[in-house]
Amino acid sequence: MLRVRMFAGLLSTLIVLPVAKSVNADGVDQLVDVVVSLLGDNDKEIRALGLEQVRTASPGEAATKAFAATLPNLSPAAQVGLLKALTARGDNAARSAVVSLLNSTVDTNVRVEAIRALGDLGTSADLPNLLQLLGKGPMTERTVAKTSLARLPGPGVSLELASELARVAATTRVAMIEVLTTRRALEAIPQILVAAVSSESQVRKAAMASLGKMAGPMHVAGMVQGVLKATPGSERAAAEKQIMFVCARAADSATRSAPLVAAVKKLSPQQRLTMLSTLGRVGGSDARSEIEEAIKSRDSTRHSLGIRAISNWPDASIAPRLMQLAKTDPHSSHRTTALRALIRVAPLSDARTDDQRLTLLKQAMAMASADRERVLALDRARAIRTTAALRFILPYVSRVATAEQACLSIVELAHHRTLREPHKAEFDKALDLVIKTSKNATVIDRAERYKKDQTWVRPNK
Amino acid sequence: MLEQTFEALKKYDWGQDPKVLKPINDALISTREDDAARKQLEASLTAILTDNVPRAAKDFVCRKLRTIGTDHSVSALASLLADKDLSHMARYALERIPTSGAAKALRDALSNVGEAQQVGIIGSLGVRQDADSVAILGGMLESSSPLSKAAACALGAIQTAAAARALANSKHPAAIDASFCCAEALLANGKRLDALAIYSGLAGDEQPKQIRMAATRGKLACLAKK
Amino acid sequence: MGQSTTTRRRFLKTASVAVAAPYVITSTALGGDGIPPASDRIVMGGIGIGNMGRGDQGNFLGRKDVQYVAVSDVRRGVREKSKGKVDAKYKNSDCQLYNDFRELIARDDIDAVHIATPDHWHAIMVIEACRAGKDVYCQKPESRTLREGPLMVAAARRYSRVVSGGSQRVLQDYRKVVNSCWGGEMGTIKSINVNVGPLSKECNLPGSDAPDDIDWDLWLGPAPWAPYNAARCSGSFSTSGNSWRSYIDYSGGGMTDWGAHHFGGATFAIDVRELQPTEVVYEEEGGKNYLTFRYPNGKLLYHNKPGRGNLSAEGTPDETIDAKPVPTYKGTGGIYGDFIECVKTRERPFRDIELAVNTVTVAHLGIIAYTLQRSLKWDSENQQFPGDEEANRFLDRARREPWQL
Repeated sequence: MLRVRMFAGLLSTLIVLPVAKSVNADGVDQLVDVVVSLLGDNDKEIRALGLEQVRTASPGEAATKAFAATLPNLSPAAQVGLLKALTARGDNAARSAVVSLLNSTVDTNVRVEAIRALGDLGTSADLPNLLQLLGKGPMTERTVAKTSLARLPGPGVSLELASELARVAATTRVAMIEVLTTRRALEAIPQILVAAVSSESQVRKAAMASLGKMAGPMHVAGMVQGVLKATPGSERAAAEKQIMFVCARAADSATRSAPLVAAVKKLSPQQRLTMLSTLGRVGGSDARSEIEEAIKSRDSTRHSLGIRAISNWPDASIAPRLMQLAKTDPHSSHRTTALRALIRVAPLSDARTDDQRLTLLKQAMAMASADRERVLALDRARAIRTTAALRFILPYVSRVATAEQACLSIVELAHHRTLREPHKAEFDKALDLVIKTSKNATVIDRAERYKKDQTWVRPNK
Repeated sequence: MLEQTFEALKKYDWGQDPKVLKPINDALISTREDDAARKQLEASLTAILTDNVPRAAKDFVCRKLRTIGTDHSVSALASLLADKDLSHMARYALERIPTSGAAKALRDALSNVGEAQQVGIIGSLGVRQDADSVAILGGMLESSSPLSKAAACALGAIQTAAAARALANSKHPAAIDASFCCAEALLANGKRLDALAIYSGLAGDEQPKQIRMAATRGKLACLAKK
Repeated sequence: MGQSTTTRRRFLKTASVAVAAPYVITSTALGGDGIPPASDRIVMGGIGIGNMGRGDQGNFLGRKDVQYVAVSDVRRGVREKSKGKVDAKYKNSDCQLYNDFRELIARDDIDAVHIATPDHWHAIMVIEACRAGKDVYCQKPESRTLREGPLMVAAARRYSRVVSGGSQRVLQDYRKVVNSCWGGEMGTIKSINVNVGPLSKECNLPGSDAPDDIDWDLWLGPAPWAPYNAARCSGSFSTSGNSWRSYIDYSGGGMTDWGAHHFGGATFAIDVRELQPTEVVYEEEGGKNYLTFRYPNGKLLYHNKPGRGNLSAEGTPDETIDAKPVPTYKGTGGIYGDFIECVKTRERPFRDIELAVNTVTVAHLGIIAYTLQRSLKWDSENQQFPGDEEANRFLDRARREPWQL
């Protein structure tokens, strides 16, 4: 038998390895004994050698249990390392050791790591404990408990979570809805639809956001109730957008509004008026009919809501109608609303060519009589990444009211290396003008960077 | 067209537009299925190497022979190995020509070139994992420092049991990393005890911490179940 | 040459026995005010402090848990400017300067280095640093040839080093598509497209006298000799001819430079970060050539596929699949914080070198397919194009003496 002296100078004990015989009497790989001794070392780099083995070596429950059994004897720093390694190993034979450690330690870092570990190694039996931490634990533990709940394995976990929704406080309910969304728990949608009409606005908002990500056409009628329940203003606008997201996922864009229109038709006249805005956001021929009826109305409120609804249209197919309204509607504020909508949809990406998108934007610009709309058109021009768009923007640098937006739009176009580099001379000239004109230090800095082929990192929002 | 391009190549120097040589680059692809045309292309390129042409022209030729060179161009390339300006570009082609002739040319040149060029050639033999050069490289381990370091690295790249044995007696620091490379290859090929012997020899207190850790990690790998 | 031979450990050893003379221990050394004591800080040096290196240095220098002590660059002006920045930060003059990176790496007081040289240097420096027991943050693209990648990974693993690749964009720029793919809402992901380029070209710029400021031979290092030209060695981010990023001896062009970001984000989104393709299919559509990388699990990564937007993924939205938790950085402070946290905990960073190498391998395979204008099979286990002698010649390129991996 070859005997090898290992780890001289690294470990305090001398470990003698029987190499030819790699499995000992109780079935645990000999390697495990060595790894266990490494895990207790004071030097974190030596411990890391052992942790690497925990992550990847000696597969099987016996080894997992042997590694996990060392947890109570380690320093907190070593416990944290081992918990992470056991999590990466992914064998839930370590679960009971993790639960015991969580119940016995007061060390914050160890508790957080143990809670995190349960997200991968736990079972539905850990649900009550994690829910309690989510509702009542210190903030660091709440945060990590939420992450763990989102990962907790088990076929019934999402349904159990959903069934608890109605029983917990509002803040916890919000967190649980977010957990269910992360889990993509489609089976929880019925309970989330109930939450969408909760008396608590924070719960409604979370529920509608969740539905926007998970719901399908069959849930739109329920979501309509969420829109109606939402407080007018930002909450309602956000709720309307969630329906828009659901309908936009329909494979056939022509019929995307069908479930919404069907749901709206069952509402009272007043509720139907409230839903006009949502119909506009979703678009589609059925929605269009409903909105056009409103625009035709002699009732000024209904007419006005119709104009606002059509101005929400999600694509440029509505441009001719918007142009007509911008020119002919008897109310100047409605004409402006339609023009602003036209400016918004003109550069949207679709089957049209860049030239067609720019042509439409130029038409809208020509219709603008106020600088506010001109500035908006210049802002939108940056979405058309061509030198023609650059040439469209350039003359507005010399007009005081539009100069700053024109400069910003130019640097936004220049930001795109694939557009800028092949047209370097043209862009350099435009960027020189920006540097000369702009009063915005960031815009000037960006222009200077792009001239030198340097990058600019957009700050995270 | 190609003839005109080769005439341009003879005058090709730094500062000229590489586009003038595009037909040769195109020919590297278009002759792929045409043995005769490919041979002619290689011959035309190789002929440039012995002409009195600018360095940039020979540089260009070596780059192309890296792609299409065969034993037919080895001799002309080998003749540049002693040239301090062109030795590297000759290797640029020779290192990638996968024939025993190219390997032999590199080995043979070792005794005919200066020390700097020797270092480069040793590196190329290592990259080629040329088992036939183990004995020569083993003999260089105790020579002057640049050669012994290069030889150790090359043996670490060759990774045979013979390379490992050659490295075992070297005191050069570069031999340690090279020995680890050999041990990893031995272990991957199922020679666990041979690998373990190398790791054990490098685990002593006299070694820096990262070496002892590497040796320890290697031993653990030897123990791990596959 | 180094301007001082005093190292931290030697200094500490000396200080502990120098009882005869009073010694003022600064508050910086003791920690306090949120700053960890010197013994708990990661001692760092930087290699290559041009455009990207300057940014990387700023990020590390701004951290309270880092003590930045040394700079290596082959340009004297860059070194000195960089020292000014470091010394101003610490209000001392301790930052040491090196022309030759090997002297910086040889310092036994340095725990970690960041590398932001031109790409042709990365592999040599990363491997040397690992051999010397340093942890490494290396800018992307991490390798210049296919052969270099596995050797970098092997060195990192052999010496148990934390080695992070340098694309901050992989996690930060493509969150929307990553979250959509991992969140289950797109169903089973089939493919993703990356639009990026161009490939680098051969360089034949005219020569001129190198300024005294630069060690030109060391700048070239393992690359073929060429006469000095300011555009050849400019660190500009351009890939259209006026920077080293444009030329094959130093870079794969936009394909590897921005490709490291885009391919990194794309392979992250479709969850093939841990794999390498088995095949690259070279095709033509509408007069444009594009590539399809096939992964062993059947997923497809397109390059410049006509009609497909950058990072546009294709799934099966009608199918319901479970969400997967999206991996993210450890610690705080983005990719830099992730690296430093892992140096402390010895975990693998988000852009672990193996994942980074898998990304840049895609770019290298693509370059070879475009160069040879044909499809390729790839054996990732053996890092070879099986039975393809022509393509195997492109696995590596000879290094100029005396440089070896």
